[in-house]
Amino acid sequence: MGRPPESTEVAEIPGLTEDEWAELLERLTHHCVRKFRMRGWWKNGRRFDRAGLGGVSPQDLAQEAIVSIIDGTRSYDPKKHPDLLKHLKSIADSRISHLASAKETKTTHCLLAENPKTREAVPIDPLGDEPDPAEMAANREVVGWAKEAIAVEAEKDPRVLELFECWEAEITKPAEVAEYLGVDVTEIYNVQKRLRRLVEKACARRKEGRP
Amino acid sequence: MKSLDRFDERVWRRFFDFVFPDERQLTREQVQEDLSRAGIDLGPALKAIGQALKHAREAHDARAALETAKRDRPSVLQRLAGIAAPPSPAIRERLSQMIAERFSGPLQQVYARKLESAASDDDLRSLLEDLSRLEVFSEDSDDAES
Repeated sequence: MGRPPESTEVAEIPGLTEDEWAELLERLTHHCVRKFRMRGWWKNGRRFDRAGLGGVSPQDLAQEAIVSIIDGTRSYDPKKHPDLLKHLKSIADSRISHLASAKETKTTHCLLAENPKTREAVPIDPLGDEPDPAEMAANREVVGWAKEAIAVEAEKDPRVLELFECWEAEITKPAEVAEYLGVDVTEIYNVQKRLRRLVEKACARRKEGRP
Repeated sequence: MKSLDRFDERVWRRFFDFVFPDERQLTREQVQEDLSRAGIDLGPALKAIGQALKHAREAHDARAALETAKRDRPSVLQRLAGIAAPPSPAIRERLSQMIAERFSGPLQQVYARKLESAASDDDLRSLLEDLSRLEVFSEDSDDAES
């Protein structure tokens, strides 16, 4: 972190129990893991590329963000930021963006999406809570690594195509998807696990330099 | 691949959200399960946070003690100012009593020698002020400890 405290005042420590701090760390780390995955920062299917990120792991980022508000390196005003986790996520996201700009100066991502029918470049969806364009571009690349494997899976299991149709119709929550398709939600979770493994495997292959 | 070609960027993003859901959609147990699958050990991070909390609380307590000391400072000065030096014939006797009661060992000997070598009334008054200050600060730190 290395930044001096913002003032000589002793930081107000959020009054959380030990267990609440632990849950905060777990959820924040999970958020960072997801951000790493979106950007394709895998070393293999499951582990993360610490070496390529100056030795920084998702849990390091989560820990740094939490410690920064405890020791006063970052200010924290509960009135201004009533949702502590949300505030911590913005701190971690900022660090991830910095890591990305350091890492991705070597890689240029296309910042335009592609119309799947015409193959023409179209502007990235400008809707409200979208991630930053570089993150979206990186995520598109990650999804691209797995597309072929998912298509093969879709031919074997028609449920995969049905899921895509649900997402197209903006039915996204597993319970809602299950209800719409008239199946038990556990079946949806099973497909989820299978698809996740496909993505992890595709990322591992890509990181190992295999097509 | 053809069957999936028709889905646009937005649907593929939902695919990613389905495969790797946001923590807000998960129970704590599911979050822990995901972290465990990713081979993440939060032990060291938890320890570091515990240390940071300990240091922050210590700093907080030290600051509170400093505030109390600052608040009490005027009363200490008032008490010091209120120490009126007794008439000079009585000073030597009072000093001798203070040295016997308040000190022991080498320190007692040091002050006893100082008392013996104090020739003038000014020397005696200066020694009395020093010992009175020591007494006041000593009482003050006893109060703070209790």
